[in-house]
Amino acid sequence: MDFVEEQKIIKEFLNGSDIAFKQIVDKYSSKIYWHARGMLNNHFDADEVTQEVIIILYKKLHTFNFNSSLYTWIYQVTHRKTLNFIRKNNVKSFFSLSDGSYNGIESTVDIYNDFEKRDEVEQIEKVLQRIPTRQREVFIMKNFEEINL
Amino acid sequence: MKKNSTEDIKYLESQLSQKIKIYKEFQKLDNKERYFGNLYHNAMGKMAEKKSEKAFRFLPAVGYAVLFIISFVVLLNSLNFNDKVLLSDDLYPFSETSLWLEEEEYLSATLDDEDFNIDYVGYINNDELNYFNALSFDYEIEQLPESDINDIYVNLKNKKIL
Repeated sequence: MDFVEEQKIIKEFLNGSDIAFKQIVDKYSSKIYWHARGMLNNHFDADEVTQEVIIILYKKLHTFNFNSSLYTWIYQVTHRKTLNFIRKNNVKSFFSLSDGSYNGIESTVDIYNDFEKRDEVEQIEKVLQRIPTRQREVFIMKNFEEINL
Repeated sequence: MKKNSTEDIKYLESQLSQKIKIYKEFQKLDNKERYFGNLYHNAMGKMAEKKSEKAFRFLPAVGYAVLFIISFVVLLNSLNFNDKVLLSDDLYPFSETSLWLEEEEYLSATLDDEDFNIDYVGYINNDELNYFNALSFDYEIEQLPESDINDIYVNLKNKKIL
């Protein structure tokens, strides 16, 4: 889907085509998910953020001004949503009696339970969480999303 | 301390860099299509759910507004604006009016509709002497010498009863 075709699909969606919106979601949902997952270290949180971002896309795509690529716009939405989620979690864990970890849940249910190197992935995610939020985001963008910084 | 934390981050990043390949393999598994295919429907379902929740959501501002209106109506009904305002000296049998005609009407109405015939009008229209003569005195009073009656009259006058 090139830039012109993408613009055409956005306009189709803005004219009321849900099929066009599904095309946009199909293209970007994995990028949204993996960015959120890298930042949140948790399938459930990443899933929630991804769904929230999709809902925002549906409601706010009419404000997209076509000055940048759609991915840049979606990335900004995902970035804000993820940081908000981290802040909310920090506040919740501050007032919560538990230690705020999700390890018990994520070790039993995830989208890829049958992945052979699952333990190693979990280790990677744990190490990622030890990096401060900003540095983590830069690391993810550079290494996992292969964005040139 | 800050230097240490920077070094820690660098160390963690170097550890992670060695594992990037594994994480990328994890991201590119074939079965991801199934999850991301459902994601669109899940998000749309969530949006519909939120919409229906919104319709029944209790808004505190609306609640406060309704409470305010109800209390205002109750208060309005509890006040009867037809009642006269009661002052501290309401037991005083004279009203605040300075017109004696009204005074007479007021006294007659207040004292159980008895005919309260005070000849204020005569007092105003005629001189003081006529007014004095118009009053009916008891026999004992009539027997008093004129100087005593004059004293009583002056005394009454000074007390502003007349």
